[in-house]
Amino acid sequence: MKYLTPYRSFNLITEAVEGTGLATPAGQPAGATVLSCQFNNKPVTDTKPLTIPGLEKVAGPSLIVWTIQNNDKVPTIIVAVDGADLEVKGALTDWTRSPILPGKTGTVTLKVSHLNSMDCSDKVGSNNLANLAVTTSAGKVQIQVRFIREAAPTRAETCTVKRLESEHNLLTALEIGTGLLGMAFPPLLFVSAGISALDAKMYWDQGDKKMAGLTALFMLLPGSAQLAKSAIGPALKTLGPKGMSLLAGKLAKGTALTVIEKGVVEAIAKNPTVLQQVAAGAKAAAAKAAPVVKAVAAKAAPVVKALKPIAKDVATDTIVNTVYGKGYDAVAGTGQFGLAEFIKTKGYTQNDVKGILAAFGSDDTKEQNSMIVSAMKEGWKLGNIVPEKWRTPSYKAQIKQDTDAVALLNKKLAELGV
Amino acid sequence: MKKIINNFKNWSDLNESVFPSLEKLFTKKMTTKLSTVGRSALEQLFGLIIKNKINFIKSEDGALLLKSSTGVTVPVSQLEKGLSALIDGKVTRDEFIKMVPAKLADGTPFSELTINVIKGSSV
Repeated sequence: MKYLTPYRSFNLITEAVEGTGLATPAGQPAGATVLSCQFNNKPVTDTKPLTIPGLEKVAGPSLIVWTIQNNDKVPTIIVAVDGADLEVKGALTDWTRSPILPGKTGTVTLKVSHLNSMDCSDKVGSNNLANLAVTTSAGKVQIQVRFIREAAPTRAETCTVKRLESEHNLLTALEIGTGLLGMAFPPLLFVSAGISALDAKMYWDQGDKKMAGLTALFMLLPGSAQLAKSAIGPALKTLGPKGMSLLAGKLAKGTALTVIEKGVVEAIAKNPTVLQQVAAGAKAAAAKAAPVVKAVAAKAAPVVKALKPIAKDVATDTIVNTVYGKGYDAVAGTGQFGLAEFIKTKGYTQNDVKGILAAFGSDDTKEQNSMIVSAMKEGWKLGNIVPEKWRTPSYKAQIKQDTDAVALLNKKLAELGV
Repeated sequence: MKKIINNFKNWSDLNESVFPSLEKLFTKKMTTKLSTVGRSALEQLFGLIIKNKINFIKSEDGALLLKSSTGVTVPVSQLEKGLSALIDGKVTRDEFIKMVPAKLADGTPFSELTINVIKGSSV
């Protein structure tokens, strides 16, 4: 028995091999078979290699679409398409979500972007075989895709790698600062930054830790003895804590910076360990100031309350477009700031937490929430079927109930003849 | 209800053939088959269903599908038929509850709301 195995080279030559038939592989359910395959809307046969235009002539990602037929006597549902190797390579899967009626067809789609499908370090001739497990209500169908690098990395790939490395250095540095912030008891940090740190505390009270951290850290920089002696010392003195707070706001909103502000930001970017030193110093100072925290916080509360309505107008979402935002997201994206902060890096809001917990069947424990983080890192989105390896007991029970419900609905309507 | 449906139709990416037969269901069967309480509950139900786009997805052939919290989908056309059968008394309350997902993709509890509709119905 044969099954479709399209070969896809990195310079976009694809072919299907392994015989002449597209029949169901041995040992797989007869009820669901791979009927045909297309690569970027061109049919892939297993009798003749298919050559398609080179990378530069193909706009956007490549699509491999398999058509799967339901040969069974009852409707079947594709409940999952898993291919961990592909997800690592940045490939995305999608499939027909509605029940496939007897004799009808559905599709499984693999979307492959050019530059991240294989590592640039892969040697010419190396190849990776990836399996896609298509789970239907009748059983599993296996599909295979082979990636082959047939050409050396293009200039575009090389440039991309270099750019990513450059960004990586900056992000790593900022991660240190934001990581420290997460451990430095921010309310104390705000106190050590002085009464002007109310701006930062206001963000903190709003749940916007990202903006709070940026503001507090920036406001602390003018107080750094080390920085005062550095080249940007005069600039920091000119801006002062309030000016640095404004700078944080500008970065958040992505508005234009003055020459002085730009110089400060560039200097921080070049020597980001200063954030680590400043945060560590502030933490120590804040610990000494702990006894007065309550008193200061009590005085600050009415001010913060009064400022909250105004603060709502301050758009903080745009901070993801700033260097700090990237740094914060890099840390939040690891999950160490908790589920709520993690999902924000995936485009969700605080309001989505409840829905995500419900959809995942999580009991909101650290263990199960870390499963959500892992699943999302591998591409799971709210509303999609959870990959098998990340399913909670509650989810397993729920998906069975849902699948049974749809089957029952179809059966009952068929009985009624409607 | 008309306002709810019109609001739904404004979704640019899902603005075709939205609940065509369901509109008929509302305009005809609701007035004759459902009590005031039932109509109110049904309006609430669909108001909640369509408040979030994430509850819907379009199949490749253009059919509208309702998504459950687990990601399993139900063709809206089938759901419409099921609701119609329920209101007509062709399926029982207990049967219908077993035929629909417990929760929608945004976490809206579908079954519980459906029970409210049924309790308010005159069938």
